[in-house]
Amino acid sequence: MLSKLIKHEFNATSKTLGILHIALFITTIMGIIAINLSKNDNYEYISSLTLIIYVLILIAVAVAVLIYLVVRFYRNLFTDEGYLMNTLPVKPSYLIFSKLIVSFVWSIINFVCTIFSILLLVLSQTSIASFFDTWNEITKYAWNEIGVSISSLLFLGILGGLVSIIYMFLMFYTSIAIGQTMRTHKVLFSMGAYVVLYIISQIISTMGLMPFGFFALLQTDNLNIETIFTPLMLSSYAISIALIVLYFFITNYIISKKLNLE
Amino acid sequence: MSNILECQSLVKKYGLKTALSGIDLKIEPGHITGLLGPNGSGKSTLIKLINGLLVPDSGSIKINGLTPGIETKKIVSYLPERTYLDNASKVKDIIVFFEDFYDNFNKEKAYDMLSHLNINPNDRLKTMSKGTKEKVQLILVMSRDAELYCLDEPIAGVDPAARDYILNTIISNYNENASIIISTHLISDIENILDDIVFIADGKVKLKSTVDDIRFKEGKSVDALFREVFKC
Amino acid sequence: MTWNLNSDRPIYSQLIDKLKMDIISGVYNPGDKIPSVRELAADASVNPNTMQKALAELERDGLVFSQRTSGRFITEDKNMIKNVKNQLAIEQITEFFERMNQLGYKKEETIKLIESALRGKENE
Repeated sequence: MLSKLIKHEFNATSKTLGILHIALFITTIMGIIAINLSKNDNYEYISSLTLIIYVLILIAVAVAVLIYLVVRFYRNLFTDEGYLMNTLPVKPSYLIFSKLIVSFVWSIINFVCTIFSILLLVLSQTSIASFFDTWNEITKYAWNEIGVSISSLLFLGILGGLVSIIYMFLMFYTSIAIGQTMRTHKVLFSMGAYVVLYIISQIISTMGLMPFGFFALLQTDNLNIETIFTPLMLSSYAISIALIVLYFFITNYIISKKLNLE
Repeated sequence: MSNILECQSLVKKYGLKTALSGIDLKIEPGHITGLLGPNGSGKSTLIKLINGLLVPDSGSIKINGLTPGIETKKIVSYLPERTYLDNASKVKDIIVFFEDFYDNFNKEKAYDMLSHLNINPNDRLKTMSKGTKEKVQLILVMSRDAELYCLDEPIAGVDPAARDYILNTIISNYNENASIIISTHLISDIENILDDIVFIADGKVKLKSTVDDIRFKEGKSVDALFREVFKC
Repeated sequence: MTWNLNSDRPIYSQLIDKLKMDIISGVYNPGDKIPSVRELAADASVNPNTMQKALAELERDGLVFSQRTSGRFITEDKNMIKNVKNQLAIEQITEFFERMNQLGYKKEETIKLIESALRGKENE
C-alpha cells in the first residue's frame, strides 16, 4: 500500500515539478551564456543582470518546489480530495510517509540539479585543474582550522541536510494538520501553529545543546573546537530527529482522530 | 448475519454544538435505505462517522460488526457530495488508482458503464461538465463490489435524464449482499427505489420505516410525510 | 412500458396491478417468460425487493410460476386469467356505480344513462 501511495504521489507531482526543473535547466543555459558574455566589455551590463536573474530563478525554483509540495499536502489530504484519500483502506501514517518521502526525493532532486547548474557555470569558466586546486585549499583549511577531515565534514553536512529537509517538511505538515482542526481561518491557524512549533523547537534545541556550552566553558584554557564539533553536530541532529518523531506522532494522531473535512 | 450498520447511543459534538445526540439505528443487510432529514440534521455527520472520517465522542458505530477503520473502508464504497477526484487527472488514471487501492474494484464494469455514457477514458476531468463528473464518480463507486454503498446526494445538481440514469445504475447494480444508504433532499425522485427510510433531525432518529408502510399507514408519499413532519 | 406509479399508494400493490393488467391485456401471453426481477425493477425504476414482493404475491395467486433455473413464467391457465380479468372488471364497475351514487344517481338511472350514451355514440 505504501509503495502504491508513493507511486501515485510521484505521478501526481511530476508534471508540475518536472516543468519547474526544465525551467531550471533553461536558466542554466541562460546563465552560461551570460557568464561567457561577461568577458566582452560591451555586454557587461546585460551579463551581470542575467547572472542576477539566474541566481534569483534558482532560488525561486527551490522555493516553488517547497511551496508546491506543502500546499499539495494540504490540498490532497484536507480539502475535497481528502474525501478520497482519507477513505482509502490505508493507515494514516502511510499517507504522511508517502508524502514525506516524495517531498524528500524531490528536494534532493532539486538540490542536485541546482548544484549541478552552479557547477556547470563554474566549470565553463575555470579549468578542471584550478577547480581541484581550490578544492584542495578548502580541504586543508577544514583540517587545520576546524580539525575535521573534508570527508567527515561532507558526511556531517549531508546528514544534516537530509535531516533538516525531513524536519522542515514535517514541521509544515504538523502545522497544517493542527490548523485544519479549526472551524474557520484554517490557514491562519496553521501559520500560528508553525510559529508556536518553531518557538518550542528552538527552546528544546537550546536546552538540549546546553551541555555542550558548559563543556566548552569548562575547557577555557584548552578550548578545542575539534573535540566538540562532531559531537555537537550529531547531538543537534539527534534533537532534530527526536522532534521529527514528535511531529510525526502529532500529525498522525490528528489525521486519525481529528480530521475536520468540510 | 450482523447488521450492516449498527449505531448505539452515538454522540458527536463539534465544540459546543451537538451534531448527533444519541443515534440508535440498525440497518439490515441487503436493503436500500434513505437517510432523510433537513439541513443541519446530522446526516452528513453520520455519514462521515460511517466512513471513518470522524470519530464518535461516545456511543458506538459498527459496520458489519466492525469499528470504522481500514477493514471497513475496504467494504464501504463512498460517494461524497463533492468532486473528490483530482481535476487534472484523466479518467483512466483514476481507474488505475481505484484498482490499486481497492481489491474489489471491477475495472471492466467501470469501462463498460463509461462507454455506455460515451465518456472517453482519456479525457481529463476538468474538461467535463459537472453532470458528467458526477456520473464518473458514481460509476467508480458502483464499480466496486462493496458490502455497503454510501451515497451522499447522488442526484442533486444533475439534470433529470442523468438522474434517471443514476437511479437506474443504482437499481441494476444492486445485489442482495450489498446494502445502499442514500442521503438526499430529493425524496420524491428516489422514493420508489428505497426499501427503508430513516428520518433524522436534531441529531436524533425520528422515524424508521419502509416506504410502503408509510404509504399504507399514512396514505401519502414519503415526500409528503417529510414535508409535514419537517414543516418550517 | 410506462408504469405510472403514483405517490400515495404502496408501490408494491401498484406493481401488482400493473402486472395483472399486462397479463390480462395480452402484453404477456399465457406461458410467456417474464423478465427478471432486476430488469423489471430497472424498467419501473423501483427497488428490486419491492418488485420481488409483487411477483411473489402473483406467484401466490397462481398467475405466475417460477422454474428454478429458467425464471418466471405466466400461467398457462387461461381460465384463471379470465377470472382475474372478470374480477378487475367487476371492481371497475362497482367503483363506477359507487361514484355515480355519490353524484346522486340511483342504479336504474345510471343504467339508463349508459344506454342513452351508447345509442348516442352509435348515431354519430
